[in-house]
Formats: sequence, C-alpha cells, structure tokens
Amino acid sequence: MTLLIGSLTIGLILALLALGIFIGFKIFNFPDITAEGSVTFGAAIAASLIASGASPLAATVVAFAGGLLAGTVTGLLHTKFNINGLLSGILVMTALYSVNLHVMGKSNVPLLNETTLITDFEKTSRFLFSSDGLLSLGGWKVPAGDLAVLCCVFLLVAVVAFLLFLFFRTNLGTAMRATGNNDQMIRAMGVNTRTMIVLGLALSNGLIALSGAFLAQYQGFADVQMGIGMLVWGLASVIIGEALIAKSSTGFLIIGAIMGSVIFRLLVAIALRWGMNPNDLKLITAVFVFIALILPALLTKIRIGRANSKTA
Amino acid sequence: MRILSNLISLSKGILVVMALSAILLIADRHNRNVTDNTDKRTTVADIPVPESGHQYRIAIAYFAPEEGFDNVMNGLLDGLKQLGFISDSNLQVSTSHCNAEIGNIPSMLMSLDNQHFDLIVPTSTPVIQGSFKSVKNTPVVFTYCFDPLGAGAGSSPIDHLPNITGVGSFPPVPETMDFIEKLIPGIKTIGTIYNSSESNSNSVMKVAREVLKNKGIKLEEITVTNTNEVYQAAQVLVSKDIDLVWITGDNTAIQSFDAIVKNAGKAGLPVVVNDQEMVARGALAAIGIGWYSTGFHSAEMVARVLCGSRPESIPIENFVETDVLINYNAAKQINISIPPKLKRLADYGVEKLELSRKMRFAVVAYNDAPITELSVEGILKGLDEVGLVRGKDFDITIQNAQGDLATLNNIVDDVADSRYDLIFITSTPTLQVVSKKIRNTPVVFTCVADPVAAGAGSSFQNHLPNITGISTMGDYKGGLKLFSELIPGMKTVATLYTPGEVNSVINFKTMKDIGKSMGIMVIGVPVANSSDVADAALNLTASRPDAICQIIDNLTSASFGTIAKAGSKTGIPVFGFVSSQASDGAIAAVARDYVQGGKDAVKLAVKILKGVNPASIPFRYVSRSQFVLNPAAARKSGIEFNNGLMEKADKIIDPDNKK
Repeated sequence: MTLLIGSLTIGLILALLALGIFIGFKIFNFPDITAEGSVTFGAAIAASLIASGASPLAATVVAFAGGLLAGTVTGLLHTKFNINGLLSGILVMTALYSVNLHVMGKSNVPLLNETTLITDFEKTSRFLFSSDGLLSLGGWKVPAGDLAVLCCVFLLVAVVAFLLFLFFRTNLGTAMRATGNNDQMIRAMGVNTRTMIVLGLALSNGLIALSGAFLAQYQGFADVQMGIGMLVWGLASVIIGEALIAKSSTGFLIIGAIMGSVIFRLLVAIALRWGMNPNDLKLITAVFVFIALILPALLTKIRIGRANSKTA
Repeated sequence: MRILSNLISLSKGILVVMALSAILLIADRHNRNVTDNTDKRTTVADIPVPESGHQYRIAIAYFAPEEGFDNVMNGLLDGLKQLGFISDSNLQVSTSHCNAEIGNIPSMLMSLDNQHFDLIVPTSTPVIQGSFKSVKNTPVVFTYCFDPLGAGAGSSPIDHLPNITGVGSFPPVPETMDFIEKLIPGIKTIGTIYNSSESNSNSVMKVAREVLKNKGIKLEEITVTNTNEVYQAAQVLVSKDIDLVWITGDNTAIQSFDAIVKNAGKAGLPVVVNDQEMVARGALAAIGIGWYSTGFHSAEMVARVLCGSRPESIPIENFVETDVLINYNAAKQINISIPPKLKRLADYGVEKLELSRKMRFAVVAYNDAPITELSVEGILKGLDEVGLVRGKDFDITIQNAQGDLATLNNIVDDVADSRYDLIFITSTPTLQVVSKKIRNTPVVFTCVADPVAAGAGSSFQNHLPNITGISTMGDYKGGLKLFSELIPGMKTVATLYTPGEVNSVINFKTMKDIGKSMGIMVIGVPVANSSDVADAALNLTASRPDAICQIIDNLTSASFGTIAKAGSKTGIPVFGFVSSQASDGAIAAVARDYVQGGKDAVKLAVKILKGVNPASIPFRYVSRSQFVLNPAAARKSGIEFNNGLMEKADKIIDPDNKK
C-alpha cells in the first residue's frame, strides 16, 4: 500500500514535468531537451533556499520562476540566434549543470530536517483524516501523513492542469497552440511566433522546474544528477497518455499526460514488485511501456475482428 | 451528452490506472490486517517523555579523566538525547571528578547531594560505593561498573539499596577464556595482576578461577596495592612460567598498563584485556565491553528516574555488548599468528549467529558502479561468514535503481511495504531517500563517504534512530603516505573529480587537506560525464604532476582504465584508492576495501539482530585498508618495488595470473 501511495504521489509530481514536456513537444512541436537541466534547476533552487531558511512556498515559487528563465534562454537562443532547437536545449541543459552546482554550492543538498511544502502537506492529515498516526484503509495500515501528501499533490496537479487548460483558451494560449499547428497561418494573422515560442518554452520549463522543486521536497534532497533520464520518461508518459485518450483536444491531452505519468510510475512499481533480477529492471520497464502502448490498439482490433466475424 | 462521451474517452485511462493499482494491491495483500510489530522495535513506548518546559538537572561523578569514562558519558548523553533530554537545552549536566583520590569521593558526593540535582550518576566502582553512604537526598542511577552487587549495592538485582539503581557490566570472562584457549591451543598458565582491595577485580577473579579450573588452566595471580608496585609485579609475573598475560578492568593495573605491556613485550608474551581502550596501548586483543553502548543503554534508566520512578522499583541490570578487537601490529611483534576463526570473531563479535526465525533482508542499491557491486558482494560474504545460509536462515532481495532517482523512490516505497527485518543500502542518494521514508525498520548502509553530509545525522554518534552504517571515506592519509614512500620527493599529485557527485567533492577536499598537512599539493581537474574522462585525463597529465592519485567517485571508478592509460602513455605513475584499480592499471592502490565495507555493515547488522538499538551504534569507517601492488605497471613507470613492500601488500597483481 505504501508502494501504491508512493507511486501515485511521484507519478503526480512528475506529471507536472510531463505537462511541461507536453507543452514543448506537443503544443509547439519543439524538441526541447532543456528539461533534464531545468528539473534539477528547480530542485536546486528550492532546496538551497529552504535549507537557508526561506519559506518553502516562496522557494517553490522562485524555483518556478527559475524554470521560466531557463526556458526563456532556450527560446531566445533558438529565435534570436537561429540556433537549431535541439541544440539550444542541449546548450542550456549543459550549462544548467554548472549553474545548479553553483546554486547549491555542492552537488547534494539534504532537506531531511527542514520544513517543506511536503511536510506541511503531511500536517494536513490531522485536518483531513483527523489523525497523524496510522490509518486503516481496506485492511492496510497506512501512515495518514502519506495519504495527506497524496491528496494535496493531487489537488495541486488538478489546479495546475485546470489553470493550464484555462490558459490555452485565452487569446494568448490559442495563439500559442496555433503557432505549433500552423505557424505560417498564425504569422499571417499578425502574431509574432518567435515571442510565442519563447513564452511557451518558458512556461514549459517553469512547470518542469516546479516538478523538480516538489520532487526535491518529497524525497528530502536535491542532487545535481537527479535530472538524468527524466526527459525520456516524461516523454514516454505524454505518449502513453495520448495513446490511451485518443483525442486531440487540449483538455484531454492535459489529462492524458497526467494519467500517462501516473501509469508509468505504476508500471515501474509493478516491475519492482515482480521480484526479478535487479539488472533487468529497465528492460522490464521498457517491455511494460510497450505493452501499455499497444494494448489499447490491440483491444480495439480484437473488438473489430470479432464484430467482423459476427457479420460474416 | 457531451459530458458523457467525454467521460467515456477518459474511461480507458482511468481503467488502466485502477487496474494497475489493483495489481499492486493484490501483490501487497499479505500485508493486510497485519499487526505492526516492527514499530515497537525502535520506539520506546514505555519510557516516559520529558515534561515540556521542565529543566532537568543531573550530576555525573567520576573517578578521573580517562577514555573509558568519556565513552560511557558520550553514550549516556547521546542516549538521553534520543529520549528527548537534550543537554544544554532541557537538561543541565554537571560533571565532577575526584582526581583519582579515593579520599575525595565522600566530600565530592556530599556536595553534589546538597545541590538539589534531580539525579546523580556515579561512575566507576569506588565512586559508586561512595554514593551508598554519602548520597542521602538525591536518587542515584549508576553505570560504568563491573559488579554492583559485589560492590554492595544490594543482595540481588531486585533487592537493593532503596535510593539506588543502575547498570552493571560484568566482563565477559568465559568468552575471554574461550578466546585465549583458541589463541594459544593447549595453554597451561595465564598470569594476571590486580589490586586485591578493588572489589570489582575480586569478583572477576572469582569467576575466572572457576572458569579456568574447568578448563584445566592455571591462573597465576599477583596482587598489588597501588600503581607504584605494578612495574615490579609485572617483572615478577613474566619471569614465571606463564603463556599469556590477562588484565581485567582493574583500575590500578590499568593506570600503569604501559609497565605491563613493556615487560610482557620483553618476554614475548601476548597481553589480553577486557578494555578496548587498551588495545591502542599495546594489548594484543580485547574481549571487552563497548562502554559507549553501556552508557547509551543506561540512559533509559536515567530517563525513567528523571520522570518520577523511584529507584527502588527498578531492578539493577547487567548489560554487556561484547566486542572483540585485535591488534595485528602487536601480533606481528611477538610473532603470533591469529587463527582465522578468531579473526572472524573480531569482525563480528560472534562465530555463528543463531536466528530465532527465518529473517528477511533487502539490499537497495542506486546504480551499477563497481564499488556498489563490491559492497553488495561484501554484504553477502559477510552474512555467509557469520554462518547464515541464504534460503535457510534468511531470504534476501536485491534491488537496484539503475541510476534513476524516481525509480529509487519507488524501490524504497516497495521495501518499506514489504516488512523486511533489516535493510542494507549502498550509496548516498539511497541513504537520503531511506532517511526520509523508512522510520521503523533498521537500516545499515555502506558505500557512503560522508553520512553526516548526506543528512543522516548530526555526528557519527548522534544520528537517525533506525539507521547506522559504514562510511567508506577513502584512506587518503594512508595512501598518500605510502605513495610518497614509493616516489621520494613527491610534491604535486593530480586527480580528476566530479563536481556533480557529493562523494567526489568530499573526497577531493579531504585528500587536498591531508595533502596540505603532508606538504603535497593536490591538483584537481573537474569532469562532468564519462565521455569527458579521456580528455580530462590528458589534461591531468599536461600539468606534469609527480603522480596521479585518483580519488574515489562513481564516474572515475567506472572509467579508471582511461586514466591509467593516460598515465602510462606519459610515464606518470597512477595510484588509486579502490582495490580493483590495481588490476586496472594503477601501480598501487590503498583502498578502503568495499568488500570489507559490506562485511562491516553485516557486523553492525549482527548487533542489531542481537537486540542492540541501532540508535546506539555509531557510524564507523571501514575497518581495514587494503594495500594492492601491481609490479608490472610499476616497471612501466620505472618503479621497482622492494621486497619489504611486497611483503606488506595484501594482494599483488600478477599479469600472468589475472584473477
């Protein structure tokens, strides 16, 4: 049960990252790989500020702003200097590694004894479940704090997703989406697509940094290497979500990305529970993701096949 | 209608999430309705907590400043801290000693008795005896004493003086004699020196005579009355026909211990003691009491009395955590070889560990670096060496996050769910995630350079209650010393380091500081990922250092061959701090042996399985450094090892016989 709650919580925290990647890759069709740097950037900013005594909320907001900045730089490199989009991301991601070391002053900042947003979330268990000990949930004993964190993180992601949804319905948001779909048309309508790309990448990396800030607070430390692999799996989440939802409207895609992230963490958790040779973990994870991707199509096929055989 | 069709579109995703959750829950079904017994192990439910806002005052009285007392006091204060009595915050601790003058004891204690302390802690037998008469108004909890009943505290653990209770630690005499018998098979006579007016020594001798009589070994006793007589007594003792000198914790003999070691050494006789502190002063071995643990254990009783329990209602306890220490240098000097069986005893404190039931262990690793693999290998070997059989005595699950932090979180959740009896972990990120998430299961780490920087505690003693382990900070001092012997006049050394790894930065700084104190300049070249190592290594040789001494981190340990190649191309000798590096092209390596680190972790685990609270077990460094030579690589750099050095090596890499 702890594993389930933990996986759901991490899945939701990383859903913010998936949303960021979704904006870059899906809305703008921009292969932005700044993510591996900006997720750590957010974690580094939040962790060092919290460790130096700042309020966790302020630290998280600053981390978000840091992500906005990182995305802006990638965007400017691409639009002002005409550097290939992939390369702009690589440059910023690489540079952020050093920046992150400077931000933290070392490669790893522990937060074990600090008050963070997550510890604040834990405290809401008194209010939510009027308990801060163990709760019995369907026979399983669950720390009420963990459950409260899950609820709060869920709420947080829901609010962010809703705001994002509303944002993409504003004029600015619509222009952004259009930039990704058909930049010639939107340029003809008098919108500066370069500004749109910079704004979009800023927003995307802001969300990714926010995800990093929460991850650091959740796991109790920031480490300069924590971004490794995040981009790929974030992307996987977005694609899993897309395959499952099979609808192209923004609202659905946002929900899809969140679900994809949660599903991905659940798959890793099941692979772990499997009890296989630890060396095979990533292989099994890859196979699971593969199955998750083809399963919906396969089921539809079977259904169609059956329908066909009936008519025949 | 639209809402409905939208919901249908989402249903597939929701179904998948629910199905996956269900699979996880089904896999976890055996944890339903389990009463939590793991919780009780580390929480101390029946010990009262300090009243908030109340200032507690205790006095600690001791005989004279010495190491054993320091250990017991540190243990006591750390133990009290764990229970919520924090010195200089809600606990005032006043300490006083009588300058090793028995005559001063009554006045010291009477003065303390009149200062209205909440409690007095007398330590060492003479002071404790003094407290029987001189303390009238204040409750007393004693510790640091062999035999409180023999000293007059009562007739039985339950039936004792009303105002007094405490913890005694009777030396493990039968274990000591077993050890001696194995050390010198067929031993005839053991010699000893003690002060016959010390009641603790008398009680120990009484037990020793009994034990030795059953074994058919003679005990040659020489008694003294003060420290001045010890030298002569030692001369007399070694001139007799004895095979070994055994000294128990007799205050007088210990005060002039050097005299005993000197005379025994001249006669080529081994000295075995019960005080670990004496091993550093030349004893061959100590089968002794871990005084820190005794102090830590005593804290519980002190806390009870502070919270209002009457001493007469608390039975006197006996608490001994037996620790075996061997001084291999002393063994070499008197030319005695230590049987492997006893070496194991020194490693684990037990020859065979008997478990009351089949245990479940987990090993959690963060990545696939060689040092991780060696650590895990050490853990498995260590369990094997204490006689535990995988599958029969224990089951072990090994998990590795393969370098992915989000997965590491998942693994730790999984482990937290699965109710293991004990969890072994390697690397710093694992320690950090575990520190945050696992509170009820004992955890033992290894392969972490600096657990304090990782946040697992504020010092090696004062740490998270369920976590202890082995720090594998490299042996930079021993290494630089040896390397400068190999390259006379070594002034500059260079190393790669990885700013992105917390361990790397700590290791680099440590070696730099040590180098500074030895007059060696340490140059560091930063490197970020494995594809940069080759370039950085060339950069390293460009500064023409006298040698490359590569510090330990994950990145460079995985690509050490590249560094060794760069060195051999330019003729700059390369040294390492990981034992396997000598076979990867280093001339020599002085290594905190990671396999040994794993075994040391098992040693701590054994203590925990025997019931010692992990909170009371301080973090430790890896117990042994390994010294590995590679003569073939040395020849390439124009260095020839002399025979003395080859003899000193733990391992020599032979290119014809690559293992």
